[in-house]
Amino acid sequence: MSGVKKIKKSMEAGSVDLSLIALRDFVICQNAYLREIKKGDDVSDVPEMYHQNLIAEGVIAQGKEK
Amino acid sequence: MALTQPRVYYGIHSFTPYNLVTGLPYGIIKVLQGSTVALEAEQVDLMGGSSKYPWASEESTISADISLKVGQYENFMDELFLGKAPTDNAAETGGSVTTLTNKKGTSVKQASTGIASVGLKSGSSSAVKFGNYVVVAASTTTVDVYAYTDVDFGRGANASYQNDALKITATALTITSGAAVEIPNTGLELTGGSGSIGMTANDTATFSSRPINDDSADVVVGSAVDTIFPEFGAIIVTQKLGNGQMLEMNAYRCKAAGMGHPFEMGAFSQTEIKVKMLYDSAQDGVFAKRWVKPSTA
Repeated sequence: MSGVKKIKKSMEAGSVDLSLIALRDFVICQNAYLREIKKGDDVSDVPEMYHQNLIAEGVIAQGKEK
Repeated sequence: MALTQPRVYYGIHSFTPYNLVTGLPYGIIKVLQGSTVALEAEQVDLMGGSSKYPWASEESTISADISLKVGQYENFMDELFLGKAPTDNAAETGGSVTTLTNKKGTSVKQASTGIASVGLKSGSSSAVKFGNYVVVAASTTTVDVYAYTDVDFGRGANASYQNDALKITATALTITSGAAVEIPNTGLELTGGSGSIGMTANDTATFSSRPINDDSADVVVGSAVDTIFPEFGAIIVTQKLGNGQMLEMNAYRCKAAGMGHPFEMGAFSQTEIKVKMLYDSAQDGVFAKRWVKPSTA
């Protein structure tokens, strides 16, 4: 897919592909961390602790497990 | 022989209810606007014939009431007049917060997929307010917080309303697994559940907080199973006159229920309490009067 960046992350149980282009607008607000995300943004800079939020909120799609 | 000085009573000094079993006082009420003892007797008249006037008259019943007008509200008054003794709490040097409790739905307060708890944020105790809050799931992993009143918003870090719906969070707070997020300017934080966060939008949960305090009390009034209005005795004392005269009334057995809480702009709250005086068979009386004119004032 053109314009889509994929970053492979290795995990103990295998590797998971994550598409880190925002599919919708979203705001992460937790203590001192504030990140306003617009649809189409590259969210690879978002700390991993928020990836579950991004997936649950439909901001990014979780890729297939290898 | 000249007439003696007339005996007069003036003002009101105190009203002291006491336990009928032990005799110990519950406390003393001194912010009194009045403590009127009313004794009204019903009389039954015998009428007959052409006489326009009764042939005889006898008393039937006598109502004996005390009308208290008070301007103070103590814990023992809740026990006697509202039917439940408050829980008096110890001083809280860091403030306190209640347990988060689901109000609508069950997803907000959830140990795994919601918010596990609300707690005091370390180092921010000066910002904990006298507040009552609602947490609303804004989305699957975010919440907004609303406050019912801004009476204490100025304590420590200033909180503020963001809209007319009384929301205090400018941006919905992100809840993450096992991590704490501060509710800005409240001295409080929400801790995410242990699993993957997944709340249902518009579910709600509530909690309240108290600032650093020397004393506090809580009571639930009107329980269907835990409301008792105990009988009590009462000592009423009038104001001491300039010449030293004092009057005391001891109402042996009283019963009261109801204590309004009028709140009016720019005025101290003052309420009226109706107390029934009853016959006490052990004392064979309703009340006793003691009057004294000391030799020296």
